[in-house]
Amino acid sequence: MLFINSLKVIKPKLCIRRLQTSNQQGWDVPTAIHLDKDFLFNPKNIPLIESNIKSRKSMGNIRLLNELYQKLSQLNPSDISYEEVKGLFNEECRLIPNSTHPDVFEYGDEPKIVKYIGAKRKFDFPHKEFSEIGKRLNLVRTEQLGNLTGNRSYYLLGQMAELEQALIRCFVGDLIKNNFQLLSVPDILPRTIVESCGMNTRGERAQVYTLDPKIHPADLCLSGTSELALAGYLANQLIDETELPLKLCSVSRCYRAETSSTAEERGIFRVHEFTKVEMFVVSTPQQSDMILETIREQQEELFTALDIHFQVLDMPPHDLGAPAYRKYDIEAWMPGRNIYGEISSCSNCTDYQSRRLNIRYKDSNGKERFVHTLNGTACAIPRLLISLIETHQQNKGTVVIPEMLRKFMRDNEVIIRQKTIPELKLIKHKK
Amino acid sequence: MIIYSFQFRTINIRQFSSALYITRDKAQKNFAVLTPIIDFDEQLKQKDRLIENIKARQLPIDLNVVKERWDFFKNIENKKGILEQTKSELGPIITRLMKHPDNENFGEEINKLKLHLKVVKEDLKSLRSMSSEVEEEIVLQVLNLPNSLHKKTPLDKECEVFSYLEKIESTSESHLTIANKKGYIKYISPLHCYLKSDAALFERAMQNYFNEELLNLNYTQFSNCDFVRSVVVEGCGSNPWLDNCEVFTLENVHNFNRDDLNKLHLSGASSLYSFMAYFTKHCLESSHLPIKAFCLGRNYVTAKPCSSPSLFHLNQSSDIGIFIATLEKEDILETVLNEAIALYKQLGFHFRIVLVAANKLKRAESLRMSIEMFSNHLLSYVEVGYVSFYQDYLSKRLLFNYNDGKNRKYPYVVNGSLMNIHKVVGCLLENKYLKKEHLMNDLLSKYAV
Repeated sequence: MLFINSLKVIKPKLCIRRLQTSNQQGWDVPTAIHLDKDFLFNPKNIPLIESNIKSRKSMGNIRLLNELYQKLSQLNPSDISYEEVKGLFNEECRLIPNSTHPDVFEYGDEPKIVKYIGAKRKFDFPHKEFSEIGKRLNLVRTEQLGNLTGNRSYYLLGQMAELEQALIRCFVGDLIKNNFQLLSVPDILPRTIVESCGMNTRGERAQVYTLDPKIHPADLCLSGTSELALAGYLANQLIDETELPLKLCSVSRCYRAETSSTAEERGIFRVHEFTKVEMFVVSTPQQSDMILETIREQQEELFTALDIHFQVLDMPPHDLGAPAYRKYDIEAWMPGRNIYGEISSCSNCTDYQSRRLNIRYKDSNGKERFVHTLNGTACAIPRLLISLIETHQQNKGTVVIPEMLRKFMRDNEVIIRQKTIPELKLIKHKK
Repeated sequence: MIIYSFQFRTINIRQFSSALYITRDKAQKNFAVLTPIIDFDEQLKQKDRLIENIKARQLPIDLNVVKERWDFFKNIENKKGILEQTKSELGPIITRLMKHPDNENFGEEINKLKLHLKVVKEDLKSLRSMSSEVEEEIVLQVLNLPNSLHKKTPLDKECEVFSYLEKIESTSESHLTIANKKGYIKYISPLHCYLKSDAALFERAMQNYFNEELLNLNYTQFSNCDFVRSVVVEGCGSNPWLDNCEVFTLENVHNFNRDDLNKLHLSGASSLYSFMAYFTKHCLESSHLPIKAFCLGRNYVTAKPCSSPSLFHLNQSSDIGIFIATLEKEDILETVLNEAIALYKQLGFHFRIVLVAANKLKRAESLRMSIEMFSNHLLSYVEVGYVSFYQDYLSKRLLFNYNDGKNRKYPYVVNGSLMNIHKVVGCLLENKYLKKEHLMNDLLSKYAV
């Protein structure tokens, strides 16, 4: 196994596109994307790339990008219009998504259901929704918090907080047994890293929180997933082929500015902050398809052990975002709200991120190539809690703790009403 | 008119902003979440003690000036009260008079009264517009006064109350140098630091250790929010409007109410702010006290200038936050001290506990118990954990109370981070390097996974 401190630093070579950043905060991050020029700027590939962009419902325009490329190559850096054209070229580069796995191309707009695991639990009593169970057992607080901790915030209390830690402990333990190396990661990252991983950090639709640049250094974002910090960790690194696949994992807080007002996403289904155990794997291009399957199998095993019912979906092109070449989602059955809700996903990003972060490996012939990166959610707390609590609720109002978590919860078998959590009464008057 | 006799300094530009105390003029644009309890008159009954407190803390506050401004504010409030009362009395008189237009001198009387009412209204309006500025200035000054000092807080220098095992006096390389040799840390800046290998396992193991032990000590586990709003930050005694405020401020997203004074901050789930947010503006039954809670989570603080890279000055750390709320005037220093000692002793390394001197306290703290380890590189002790005692200072500011019969009372609050794991990694790397020991000992290995 490769120990991550044995990585070498690569000095960036001639690159084309400069990333938009003003502040790298001491990070050794490439200032340009290593574009696959042979592919992108070969006119014969334009119809294929165009078809990919269309099926992914992406905003990219490959013809415009080619035009700008030609224009830029004819301009001298001292020309007045050079910087302007370069800016437009950079912007268009950002909009071109990764290519798509050929199998997925055929799916149209709908995901392919790969398999169902377990079955929907049949209840012989009127079963409840998470928020109702949480409230009755005094396990969660979501009310009267907007003015104090922000919209859609929540506190997990007593045994629910214990359950969160038990899940983290159980999943991290499993990953370490499977030769993942644990890293403790920063949650505040430079904008460059976040954008290099394919996330939009600006504009109305951005899902990324930014520190106030009037108070703090500019271009610092809150990480939405530790995939970003793990990918950033490897920026400008050269890895020997024999050391791949390199398997990393971490536990972190994730911050997402996304909003939702749909009824299905009520309660703690879509929140602005949560804890997540993440897997991140670096491989050769030859290994990545197979590794994606391994990650998915590992996720399936763990969720099966929690005794929840779920479906595995191979996601269609338009659900892949910009970086993924292929993505599986795992949707768990949430009997209280009568839906399948996404609790986990895993993606093969091929060389999309490694070209932006300059992560390479040296093959057996000594040639430097870009690695493939893959990521997967081992355990994202809030939605996993919804599925667990709703699935394992009992007629008496208590909740059975899955067998494999009990040793991390003082050998308790059930979650009961939390008597040590005080009942709070809102003070309605201002004084 | 009475009001023209007032002499006060006009503040042309509002230099003060607060999400905790929203004056009438700002309330139209900003939702006032609550109004903190201001009991300055009560505090003034022990003025000498307060002056000594300010002196011991070495704060640049002249209490006499504050009192002068307070009296002036109260004077304005009295005048406002008189004008409001006059206005409310004039209304019915005019209405009554209007019912009898045939009365002798009706025209003269009614014009006189109407003119009087008009003048009163105008005076009131101008007084109100000015009084908000005076009110905000003085109330924020009063809110900025320190908590009273706990009787155990040393006035001149820190006081060691416990020490376990002997410190190693030898000098070591810095923990970052050692960590680099061992491949334990990737340090980029105080904002960006990775723990790797045994250091990452140490972090998890320590969290798992405290998790189990605190549950055994009957603490209730909380999983808190990492975000808090300005009102909570201010309520806890920090000023989010100052450059040196310890919490991070987020940029407004999606153009959401850009003028809002109640901004979103990142403080971390294990922080005081997050615990206090939970109880803010809420009341509970006295039978629920004491509350003993803990939270394993992040702590985010803005950087303090530091000459060299170190784990002792990170912006992000993993902490073991504890929170205790007790009945009014209950002192649990001994209990908390003994619990901290027991939790640390099992880990098998040298530490000491000191009570921090008054001039090292934050304004909101009444007493601070500091858990320290020795840095063999700096050759000085480093605070790796602390427990602060706030009495009812925070609960009064953030309206956290309990019912005692028909009386409303304010719990005494204790909060701290039993351990900043990153700082402990720093100290232990230096301690253990000299003894050629591993970071993970047998006890922690059991908790690693």
